[in-house]
Amino acid sequence: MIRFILPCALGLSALSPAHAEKLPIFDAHIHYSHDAVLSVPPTEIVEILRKAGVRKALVSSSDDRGTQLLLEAAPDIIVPALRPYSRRGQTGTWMHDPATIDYLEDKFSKFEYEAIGEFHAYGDDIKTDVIQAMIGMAKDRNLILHHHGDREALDLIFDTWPEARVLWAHSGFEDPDDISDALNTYPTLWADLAYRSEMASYGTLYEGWKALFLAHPDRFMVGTDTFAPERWHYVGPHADFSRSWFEDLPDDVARKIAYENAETMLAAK
Amino acid sequence: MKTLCISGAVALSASMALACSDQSGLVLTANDEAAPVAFVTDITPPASVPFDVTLTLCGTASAEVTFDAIMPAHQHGMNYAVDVRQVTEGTFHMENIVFHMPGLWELQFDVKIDEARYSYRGEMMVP
Amino acid sequence: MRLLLLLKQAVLLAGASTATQADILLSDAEIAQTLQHGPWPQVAQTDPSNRFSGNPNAIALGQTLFHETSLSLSGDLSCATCHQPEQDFTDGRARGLGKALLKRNTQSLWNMDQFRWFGWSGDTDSLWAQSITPLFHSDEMAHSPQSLHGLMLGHATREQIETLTGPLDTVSPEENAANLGKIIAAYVETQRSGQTSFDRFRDALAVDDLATAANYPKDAQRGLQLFLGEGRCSFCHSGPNFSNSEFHDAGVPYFLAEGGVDEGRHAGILALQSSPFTLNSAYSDDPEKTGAWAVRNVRFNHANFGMFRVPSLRRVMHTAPYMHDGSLPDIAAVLDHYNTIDMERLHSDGEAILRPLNMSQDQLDDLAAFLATLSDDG
Repeated sequence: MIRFILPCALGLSALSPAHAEKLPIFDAHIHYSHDAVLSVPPTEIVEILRKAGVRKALVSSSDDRGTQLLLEAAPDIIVPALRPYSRRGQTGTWMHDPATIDYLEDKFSKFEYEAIGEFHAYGDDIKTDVIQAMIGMAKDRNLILHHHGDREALDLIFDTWPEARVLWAHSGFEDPDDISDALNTYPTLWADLAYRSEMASYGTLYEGWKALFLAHPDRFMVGTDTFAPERWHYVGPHADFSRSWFEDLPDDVARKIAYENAETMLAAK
Repeated sequence: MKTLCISGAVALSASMALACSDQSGLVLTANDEAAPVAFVTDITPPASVPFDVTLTLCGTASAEVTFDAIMPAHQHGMNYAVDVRQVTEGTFHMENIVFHMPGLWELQFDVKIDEARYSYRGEMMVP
Repeated sequence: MRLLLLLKQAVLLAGASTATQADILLSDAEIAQTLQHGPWPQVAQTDPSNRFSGNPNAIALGQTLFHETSLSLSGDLSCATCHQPEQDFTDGRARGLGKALLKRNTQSLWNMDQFRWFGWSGDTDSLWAQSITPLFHSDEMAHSPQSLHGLMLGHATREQIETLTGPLDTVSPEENAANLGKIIAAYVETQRSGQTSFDRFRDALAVDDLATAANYPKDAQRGLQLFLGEGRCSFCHSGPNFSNSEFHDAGVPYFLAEGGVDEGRHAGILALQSSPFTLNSAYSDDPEKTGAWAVRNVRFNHANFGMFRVPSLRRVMHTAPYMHDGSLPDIAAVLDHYNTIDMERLHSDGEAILRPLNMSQDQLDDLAAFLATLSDDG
């Protein structure tokens, strides 16, 4: 028996899907932070999104100004989320800074949002006063929590608010079995696949990932994660990459992961 | 035989020992006590140069094997997929593994024997 | 009396040995790491995918073609226009200049036989394929396979080429390009840098010759210790060539001033997948397809976007400016970049290697002193 993990000698066409080319994308993991605002103007961002076939994008930014600029430029595409950071470098410290609460309250007094996040929190971070208060704000407004962190933190979020709608960023960087377990445990958990490319190789899904998507067809969505300003130019290639492995799924499942699941998550208030 | 990372849960049964009587290498840790004893060629891999290892699954005629590796300290994996080839009953060859940095690498094997799935772990230090 | 003399000699020798030992600042573990960066030079091996590799006639002809401006469609550019031999095969510019400003810094061509991938993004997997790339690049030599074939049919070197390749008029334009690339590569691969004071230090340590090793300056030794340890440089700048020949995000912005970005390794993999000239192709002369596993098995990762190949550090002091876009003018700027690296540019779950080094100026000076000892081979 010979088993190759990676199909050999696949061409460029494997990343440029033929049949799913027009499948629209809900990009569920996008940032337009202060440094990106200085580098890529909103008009160019909107052009990038439209050219990539992104029909909706869940956008969160540090600070929030980028999200508001994009919302103004393309209200038909942008779904605003509020990130609890005034700068990108606060991912490991924000939960210990009481000023975060003031920041969030100030933003909520001025703007409307569909989600809080993407926020980084691991383990007991969830028990901090700042995060507990933030979850309370989300509960008051019935907002999605876009969480980047481990399973322990995820469990604590649901302990705090069992009915929460949570979008697990990068699906926790867990493997298919562990993602499946989390999805089985929490019916209001959705999973984004941002920065994950190990599910497929040149358009062919690996067995474990394919089984995961087929077992939970209503729970996954894709996202580019524009963590550095230059990565806005990866939105198009990322959409193409996603469409390439959508080809390896039944049409209805591909459509769900491409955009329907994210829309369902938003509507599930 | 070097026994890095040997799992106390993995027992060497008489029949398996018989099948692997000439075993020498790095014994892998299994996630399940029912998993066959497994070991790989015990080598010191060079940095960023392709190398091969052989996996032996004691008492196992055929299996589906996939291989991957990560560098836990740096949170990254390999830049290349690895070809896995069964060479004899219970013996699998992994070709062109590239550990592209010096340091400790974790070997990860997923093995499917009939309907049972096992995962194995081992460690190699790249000088 | 004789016993006393022997004892005296033993004491003197022990004293000398202790003094020499004290001149070596490296721990046993650091010495073991240091040994991994040699020996140098490596034994030169011919490239099995290039049937002209090591052929003296091809090497001589390759050198001629390397300097041949007629190989460009406009007739005024040669390989040597950018890869100037008297400037360590670089041009001293931040970004290369062909018919237009190119995206990337011109890399030196030393020790090409030590790499697995070629160019900043690794869009080729052999030196001969890399040698073809500028021939067809619209901002460089700007040929098509057909126009290049037509040119060579009437070229002054045709007879010499045909001595190596057989009749030019019976090969396809693509095969003609592959042959030219291989002849140029036969020359380029002979450009190997020599032994440096670091290599002499390393070789002395390898045979426990502490007296010779002690000649290696203390500041360079301290710099080497930082390179291997706190600086975390040797994770990527590994092995005898001080490069792992792989791709990493060094936190350098990759916007292009003229708009858009340099996609780096992402574009490199796409180019590889569509290239007719890989080690896995019929143009490789190696029936065993040695090395073709890399192009077959290379993984496509989101992290590849904006990654660039780790450059060798051999003769690094002579190849300024630095980084893929030549944005850092000198070694001091490079060290400062890593000393104060902007972590916000890197993904929080990406490679956990880089972090601000926060080294003192003395430490940075030591690192520079060490790097200088990789460049003093004359």
